[in-house]
Amino acid sequence: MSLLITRPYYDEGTHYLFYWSGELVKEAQNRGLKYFDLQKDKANRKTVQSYLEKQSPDLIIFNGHGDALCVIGDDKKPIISVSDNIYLLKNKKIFVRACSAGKLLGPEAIRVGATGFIGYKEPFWFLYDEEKFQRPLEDDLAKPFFECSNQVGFSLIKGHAIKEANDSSMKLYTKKISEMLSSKSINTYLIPFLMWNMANQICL
Amino acid sequence: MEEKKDKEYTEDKNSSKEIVELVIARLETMPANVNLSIGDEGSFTVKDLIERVKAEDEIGKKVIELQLSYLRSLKDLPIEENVSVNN
Repeated sequence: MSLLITRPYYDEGTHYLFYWSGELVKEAQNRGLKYFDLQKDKANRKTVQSYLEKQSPDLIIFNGHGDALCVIGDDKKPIISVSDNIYLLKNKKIFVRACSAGKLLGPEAIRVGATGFIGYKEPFWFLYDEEKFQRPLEDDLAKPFFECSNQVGFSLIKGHAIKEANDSSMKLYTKKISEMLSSKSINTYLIPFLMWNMANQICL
Repeated sequence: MEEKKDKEYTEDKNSSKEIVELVIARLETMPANVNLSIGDEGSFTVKDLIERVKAEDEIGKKVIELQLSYLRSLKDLPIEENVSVNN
Protein backbone atom coordinates (compact mmCIF):
# COMPACT_ATOMS: atom_id res chain seq x y z
CA MET A 1 0.00 0.00 0.00
CA SER A 2 1.15 3.55 -0.64
CA LEU A 3 -0.05 6.92 0.62
CA LEU A 4 -0.23 10.39 -0.87
CA ILE A 5 -0.86 13.19 1.61
CA THR A 6 -1.19 16.91 0.90
CA ARG A 7 -0.34 19.55 3.51
CA PRO A 8 -0.61 23.15 2.33
CA TYR A 9 0.56 25.83 4.75
CA TYR A 10 -0.48 29.45 4.42
CA ASP A 11 -2.89 30.57 7.16
CA GLU A 12 -4.05 29.75 10.69
CA GLY A 13 -6.19 26.83 9.60
CA THR A 14 -3.56 25.20 7.39
CA HIS A 15 -0.93 25.84 10.09
CA TYR A 16 -2.80 23.49 12.43
CA LEU A 17 -3.69 21.04 9.67
CA PHE A 18 -0.03 20.94 8.57
CA TYR A 19 1.32 19.95 11.98
CA TRP A 20 -1.48 17.58 12.93
CA SER A 21 -1.39 15.76 9.61
CA GLY A 22 2.36 15.48 10.16
CA GLU A 23 1.43 12.89 12.80
CA LEU A 24 -0.05 10.79 9.99
CA VAL A 25 3.18 11.11 8.01
CA LYS A 26 5.09 9.89 11.10
CA GLU A 27 2.75 6.91 11.35
CA ALA A 28 3.35 6.05 7.69
CA GLN A 29 7.11 6.34 8.30
CA ASN A 30 6.98 4.14 11.38
CA ARG A 31 5.07 1.49 9.49
CA GLY A 32 7.52 1.53 6.60
CA LEU A 33 4.77 2.55 4.24
CA LYS A 34 5.66 4.05 0.88
CA TYR A 35 4.40 7.62 1.09
CA PHE A 36 4.46 10.91 -0.81
CA ASP A 37 4.26 13.92 1.49
CA LEU A 38 3.26 16.87 -0.71
CA GLN A 39 3.69 19.69 1.74
CA LYS A 40 3.62 23.48 1.41
CA ASP A 41 4.21 24.59 -2.20
CA LYS A 42 4.32 20.99 -3.40
CA ALA A 43 0.61 20.77 -2.60
CA ASN A 44 -0.42 22.10 -5.99
CA ARG A 45 -2.53 20.68 -8.81
CA LYS A 46 0.33 19.89 -11.18
CA THR A 47 2.40 17.96 -8.63
CA VAL A 48 -0.59 16.15 -7.13
CA GLN A 49 -1.80 15.14 -10.57
CA SER A 50 1.66 13.94 -11.57
CA TYR A 51 1.99 11.76 -8.44
CA LEU A 52 -1.52 10.36 -8.84
CA GLU A 53 -0.81 9.39 -12.45
CA LYS A 54 2.75 8.11 -12.09
CA GLN A 55 2.86 6.66 -8.57
CA SER A 56 -0.77 5.59 -8.30
CA PRO A 57 -1.03 5.59 -4.47
CA ASP A 58 -3.85 3.50 -2.98
CA LEU A 59 -4.66 5.90 -0.19
CA ILE A 60 -5.00 9.68 -0.47
CA ILE A 61 -5.34 12.11 2.43
CA PHE A 62 -6.11 15.68 1.42
CA ASN A 63 -5.74 18.41 4.06
CA GLY A 64 -6.54 22.07 3.53
CA HIS A 65 -9.40 24.26 2.57
CA GLY A 66 -12.09 23.41 0.11
CA ASP A 67 -15.76 23.48 -0.72
CA ALA A 68 -18.41 21.11 -1.98
CA LEU A 69 -16.72 20.84 -5.37
CA CYS A 70 -12.97 20.97 -4.78
CA VAL A 71 -9.97 20.80 -2.47
CA ILE A 72 -7.61 23.78 -2.46
CA GLY A 73 -3.82 23.60 -2.60
CA ASP A 74 -1.03 25.82 -1.30
CA ASP A 75 -1.49 28.31 -4.16
CA LYS A 76 -5.16 28.66 -3.16
CA LYS A 77 -6.18 26.98 -6.41
CA PRO A 78 -8.01 23.63 -6.69
CA ILE A 79 -5.81 20.55 -6.65
CA ILE A 80 -8.70 18.18 -7.23
CA SER A 81 -12.14 19.17 -8.42
CA VAL A 82 -15.37 17.71 -9.71
CA SER A 83 -15.14 19.74 -12.91
CA ASP A 84 -11.51 18.94 -13.71
CA ASN A 85 -9.57 15.90 -12.51
CA ILE A 86 -11.83 13.89 -10.23
CA TYR A 87 -11.29 10.85 -12.47
CA LEU A 88 -7.83 10.54 -10.82
CA LEU A 89 -9.53 9.24 -7.68
CA LYS A 90 -10.62 6.00 -9.35
CA ASN A 91 -9.67 2.93 -7.29
CA LYS A 92 -8.47 5.04 -4.37
CA LYS A 93 -9.43 5.28 -0.72
CA ILE A 94 -9.79 8.95 0.12
CA PHE A 95 -9.94 10.99 3.29
CA VAL A 96 -10.56 14.71 2.79
CA ARG A 97 -10.04 16.94 5.82
CA ALA A 98 -11.36 20.10 4.21
CA CYS A 99 -14.65 21.95 4.35
CA SER A 100 -17.75 20.53 2.71
CA ALA A 101 -16.07 18.13 0.26
CA GLY A 102 -18.44 15.42 1.47
CA LYS A 103 -21.36 17.21 -0.12
CA LEU A 104 -20.57 16.73 -3.82
CA LEU A 105 -16.91 15.85 -4.33
CA GLY A 106 -17.24 12.69 -2.22
CA PRO A 107 -20.27 11.26 -4.01
CA GLU A 108 -18.71 12.18 -7.36
CA ALA A 109 -15.46 10.44 -6.41
CA ILE A 110 -17.43 7.28 -5.67
CA ARG A 111 -19.29 7.65 -8.98
CA VAL A 112 -15.99 7.69 -10.91
CA GLY A 113 -14.79 4.56 -9.09
CA ALA A 114 -13.16 5.55 -5.80
CA THR A 115 -13.26 2.59 -3.41
CA GLY A 116 -14.21 4.70 -0.41
CA PHE A 117 -14.46 8.26 0.83
CA ILE A 118 -14.52 9.98 4.21
CA GLY A 119 -15.02 13.72 4.46
CA TYR A 120 -17.22 16.47 5.86
CA LYS A 121 -20.48 17.66 4.38
CA GLU A 122 -20.19 21.00 6.19
CA PRO A 123 -17.18 23.15 7.14
CA PHE A 124 -14.58 21.42 9.35
CA TRP A 125 -14.32 23.63 12.44
CA PHE A 126 -11.85 23.59 15.27
CA LEU A 127 -11.09 25.67 18.31
CA TYR A 128 -7.56 26.63 19.22
CA ASP A 129 -5.76 28.50 21.95
CA GLU A 130 -4.03 31.55 20.52
CA GLU A 131 -1.42 31.27 23.26
CA LYS A 132 -0.47 27.84 21.89
CA PHE A 133 -0.48 28.86 18.24
CA GLN A 134 3.27 28.30 17.84
CA ARG A 135 2.98 24.81 19.35
CA PRO A 136 -0.15 23.38 17.74
CA LEU A 137 0.52 19.81 18.88
CA GLU A 138 0.47 21.01 22.50
CA ASP A 139 -2.78 22.91 22.09
CA ASP A 140 -5.32 21.14 24.33
CA LEU A 141 -8.23 22.95 22.71
CA ALA A 142 -7.32 21.85 19.19
CA LYS A 143 -6.26 18.36 20.29
CA PRO A 144 -9.67 16.61 20.39
CA PHE A 145 -10.62 17.95 16.95
CA PHE A 146 -7.46 16.66 15.35
CA GLU A 147 -7.16 13.45 17.34
CA CYS A 148 -10.69 12.43 16.32
CA SER A 149 -10.21 13.28 12.66
CA ASN A 150 -6.65 11.89 12.58
CA GLN A 151 -8.09 8.61 13.77
CA VAL A 152 -9.50 8.15 10.25
CA GLY A 153 -6.00 8.56 8.80
CA PHE A 154 -4.29 6.31 11.37
CA SER A 155 -6.81 3.58 10.75
CA LEU A 156 -6.49 3.79 6.96
CA ILE A 157 -2.68 3.84 7.15
CA LYS A 158 -2.89 0.64 9.21
CA GLY A 159 -4.75 -0.93 6.32
CA HIS A 160 -8.26 -0.91 7.70
CA ALA A 161 -11.29 -0.64 5.44
CA ILE A 162 -12.94 2.73 4.96
CA LYS A 163 -15.95 1.85 7.14
CA GLU A 164 -13.72 0.55 9.93
CA ALA A 165 -11.72 3.79 9.79
CA ASN A 166 -14.88 5.86 10.08
CA ASP A 167 -16.23 3.71 12.93
CA SER A 168 -12.94 4.03 14.79
CA SER A 169 -13.05 7.81 14.45
CA MET A 170 -16.69 7.92 15.59
CA LYS A 171 -15.80 5.85 18.66
CA LEU A 172 -13.06 8.29 19.53
CA TYR A 173 -15.45 11.25 19.16
CA THR A 174 -17.88 9.49 21.48
CA LYS A 175 -15.12 8.73 23.98
CA LYS A 176 -13.83 12.32 24.00
CA ILE A 177 -17.30 13.85 24.32
CA SER A 178 -18.23 11.38 27.00
CA GLU A 179 -15.07 12.19 28.96
CA MET A 180 -15.79 15.92 28.71
CA LEU A 181 -19.33 15.44 29.94
CA SER A 182 -18.51 13.15 32.80
CA SER A 183 -15.42 14.86 34.17
CA LYS A 184 -14.78 18.17 35.80
CA SER A 185 -13.57 19.46 32.47
CA ILE A 186 -13.65 23.22 32.21
CA ASN A 187 -13.68 23.04 28.43
CA THR A 188 -17.23 21.80 27.93
CA TYR A 189 -17.81 24.66 25.49
CA LEU A 190 -15.79 22.50 23.06
CA ILE A 191 -18.51 19.88 22.87
CA PRO A 192 -20.93 21.58 20.40
CA PHE A 193 -18.05 22.22 18.00
CA LEU A 194 -16.72 18.69 18.28
CA MET A 195 -20.19 17.26 17.78
CA TRP A 196 -20.60 19.41 14.68
CA ASN A 197 -17.62 17.73 13.00
CA MET A 198 -18.75 14.33 14.21
CA ALA A 199 -22.26 14.79 12.81
CA ASN A 200 -20.96 16.06 9.49
CA GLN A 201 -18.31 13.40 8.92
CA ILE A 202 -19.56 11.09 6.22
CA CYS A 203 -18.38 7.75 4.96
CA LEU A 204 -19.22 6.59 1.43
CA MET B 1 -56.44 38.27 9.81
CA GLU B 2 -53.94 41.15 9.64
CA GLU B 3 -53.83 41.26 13.43
CA LYS B 4 -53.03 37.53 13.58
CA LYS B 5 -50.20 37.92 11.06
CA ASP B 6 -48.76 40.84 13.02
CA LYS B 7 -48.89 38.78 16.21
CA GLU B 8 -47.11 35.82 14.53
CA TYR B 9 -44.46 38.17 13.14
CA THR B 10 -43.84 39.71 16.56
CA GLU B 11 -43.67 36.26 18.16
CA ASP B 12 -41.17 35.02 15.53
CA LYS B 13 -39.07 38.13 15.99
CA ASN B 14 -39.10 37.72 19.78
CA SER B 15 -38.24 34.05 19.51
CA SER B 16 -35.37 34.79 17.12
CA LYS B 17 -34.10 37.48 19.51
CA GLU B 18 -34.22 35.04 22.40
CA ILE B 19 -32.28 32.46 20.43
CA VAL B 20 -29.59 35.00 19.55
CA GLU B 21 -29.35 35.99 23.22
CA LEU B 22 -29.09 32.35 24.26
CA VAL B 23 -26.28 31.68 21.78
CA ILE B 24 -24.43 34.82 22.85
CA ALA B 25 -24.74 33.78 26.49
CA ARG B 26 -23.19 30.43 25.59
CA LEU B 27 -20.35 32.05 23.66
CA GLU B 28 -19.65 34.35 26.59
CA THR B 29 -18.68 31.31 28.65
CA MET B 30 -15.67 30.79 26.36
CA PRO B 31 -12.32 32.26 27.49
CA ALA B 32 -10.92 35.17 25.48
CA ASN B 33 -7.87 33.19 24.29
CA VAL B 34 -10.10 30.78 22.33
CA ASN B 35 -10.24 31.15 18.54
CA LEU B 36 -12.48 29.31 16.11
CA SER B 37 -11.11 28.31 12.71
CA ILE B 38 -13.77 27.95 10.04
CA GLY B 39 -12.07 26.74 6.87
CA ASP B 40 -11.15 29.49 4.46
CA GLU B 41 -13.50 31.89 6.23
CA GLY B 42 -10.60 32.39 8.64
CA SER B 43 -10.22 32.53 12.40
CA PHE B 44 -12.54 34.24 14.82
CA THR B 45 -12.10 35.36 18.39
CA VAL B 46 -14.97 34.94 20.84
CA LYS B 47 -15.66 38.66 20.50
CA ASP B 48 -15.80 38.32 16.68
CA LEU B 49 -18.21 35.41 16.98
CA ILE B 50 -20.52 37.33 19.26
CA GLU B 51 -20.56 40.22 16.77
CA ARG B 52 -21.32 37.81 13.91
CA VAL B 53 -24.16 36.23 15.87
CA LYS B 54 -25.60 39.66 16.70
CA ALA B 55 -25.38 40.62 13.02
CA GLU B 56 -26.88 37.24 12.03
CA ASP B 57 -24.61 37.09 8.97
CA GLU B 58 -23.63 33.77 7.35
CA ILE B 59 -21.04 32.91 10.02
CA GLY B 60 -23.38 34.05 12.78
CA LYS B 61 -26.19 31.88 11.41
CA LYS B 62 -23.89 28.86 11.28
CA VAL B 63 -22.83 29.41 14.88
CA ILE B 64 -26.50 29.65 15.89
CA GLU B 65 -27.25 26.46 13.95
CA LEU B 66 -24.35 24.66 15.64
CA GLN B 67 -25.38 25.71 19.16
CA LEU B 68 -29.05 24.90 18.59
CA SER B 69 -28.18 21.56 17.09
CA TYR B 70 -26.17 20.78 20.24
CA LEU B 71 -28.95 21.89 22.58
CA ARG B 72 -31.50 19.79 20.71
CA SER B 73 -29.21 16.76 20.96
CA LEU B 74 -28.75 17.03 24.73
CA LYS B 75 -31.30 14.31 25.34
CA ASP B 76 -29.27 11.78 23.36
CA LEU B 77 -25.68 12.84 23.85
CA PRO B 78 -23.23 10.07 22.99
CA ILE B 79 -22.31 8.90 26.46
CA GLU B 80 -20.70 5.50 26.54
CA GLU B 81 -18.84 3.70 29.22
CA ASN B 82 -15.54 1.99 28.50
CA VAL B 83 -15.43 2.86 24.83
CA SER B 84 -12.45 1.13 23.30
CA VAL B 85 -10.95 2.49 20.13
CA ASN B 86 -9.18 0.02 17.89
CA ASN B 87 -6.30 1.50 16.02
